[in-house]
Amino acid sequence: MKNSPAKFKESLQEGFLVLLWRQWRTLGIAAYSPETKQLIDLEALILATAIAAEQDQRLWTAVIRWLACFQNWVNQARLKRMSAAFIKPDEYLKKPLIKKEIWQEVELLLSTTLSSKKTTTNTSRAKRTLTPPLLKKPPLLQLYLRGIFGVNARAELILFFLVNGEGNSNQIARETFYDQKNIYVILERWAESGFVSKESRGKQNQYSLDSGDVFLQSNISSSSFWSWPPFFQLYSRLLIAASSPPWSNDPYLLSSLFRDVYPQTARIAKATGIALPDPDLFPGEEFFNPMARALLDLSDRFQ
Amino acid sequence: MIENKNIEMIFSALDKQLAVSGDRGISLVVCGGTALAALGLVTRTTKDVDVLGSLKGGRIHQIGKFPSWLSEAAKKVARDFNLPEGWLNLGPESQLDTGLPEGLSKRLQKIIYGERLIIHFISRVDQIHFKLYASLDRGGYHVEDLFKLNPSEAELFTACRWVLTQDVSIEFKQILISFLKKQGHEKLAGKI
Repeated sequence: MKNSPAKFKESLQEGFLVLLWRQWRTLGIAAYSPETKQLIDLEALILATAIAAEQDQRLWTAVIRWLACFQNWVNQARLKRMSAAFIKPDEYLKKPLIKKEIWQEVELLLSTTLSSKKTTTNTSRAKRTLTPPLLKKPPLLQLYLRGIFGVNARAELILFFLVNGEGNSNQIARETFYDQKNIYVILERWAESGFVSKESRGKQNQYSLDSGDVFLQSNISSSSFWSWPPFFQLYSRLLIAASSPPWSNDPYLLSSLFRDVYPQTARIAKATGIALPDPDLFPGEEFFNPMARALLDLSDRFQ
Repeated sequence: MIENKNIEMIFSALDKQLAVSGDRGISLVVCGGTALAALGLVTRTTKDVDVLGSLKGGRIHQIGKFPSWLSEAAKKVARDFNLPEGWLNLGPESQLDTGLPEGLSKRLQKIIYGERLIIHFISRVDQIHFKLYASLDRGGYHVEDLFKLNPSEAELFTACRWVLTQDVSIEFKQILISFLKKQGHEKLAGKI
């Protein structure tokens, strides 16, 4: 089936919004959509929803209310670090993925001293549409771990090990959006206590959860996907491009953007076993149809 | 490769990429194989686009170095159409220093490829000038291109007078005379 840029945009937007609604439903926002089965990364989800704020004002309003009630679950330092790639002009689109005024709304809300009045209003309205997140739900493992370890790097460290098995401090810091020094100090303490195993590999120490202490493995399936920031960055880029000139309605410029983001797409596709078309076989706009189809298939896998 | 059937697609793509890279426009003067193919004068493939300069106020100006927004756009087009790096180049720009055939800028043929890109291709008459010069200098496919343009005796004579301004040495004049004789233009060779 052939895709037009308009059809691609429509399918992409629909898939993106369904994905967001399913994750927020799992976090306690009343919605018709079924709950997600994927692990949720709260900070990445907030950023992704801010990107789609103008496309779904109802969801954005509900999320603002959720944040007003449950902002204590949000790791603000991590959110700030993660947001850097979303609020500065994007490498390919030359404009930020999140509009300044939308992001200011989040920052204002999370800064409790400045927004106490607004928070009170949102909290009272929220009681009708929100339920507190049930931490025992498998997709909410991040919040469950924050409940045990506090809202700090330890929760993401454990999640990283459960999903990836092992890693060094630089890799973990990069993928979890924490300061490398902070990660290193925690890993060293955990290694001393025997909670993680440490093995020297070249210039780096490789850490992994000690099998005897893994008490959370039952909460996670081997297919769990947790690299939401690159996924959201990729799909928000595509969504913004498909909705705005000069890319919208132009299969050549969209296919050129597909080539720009091909390495990132390939990494995500690898995690799901989806084969991407070879760009060298499809010159110019010929790349649009096969790649648009693959991107939509990929997006469906993460619902 | 660039050929008759994809020239329009490639320049349209460059026009669109200009909207992404800087949203600025440019008018380029193009010679060489791409100009031959774009105007339908000679059907052949080429791997690059030879830019002579930019056109402003009816005059051709040296560019020196492509602005970053144009280079960025050209790089994307190269990737998207499997073209070699440097497919858009200023190779023949030094021709502006040594002198162009008289009236070249008035004979340019303009094609608008979108909102940002205008290409002015050099005319058939000026191709005869450049191809004669290239035939004497490098030979090969340039000779073939020159005679595919079916130059008349008068056109070849004007071109001969111009090439002699590009290299004033006696040796070069001898090369021109022997080339004309070899190509069956003895009468014209006698006039040089």
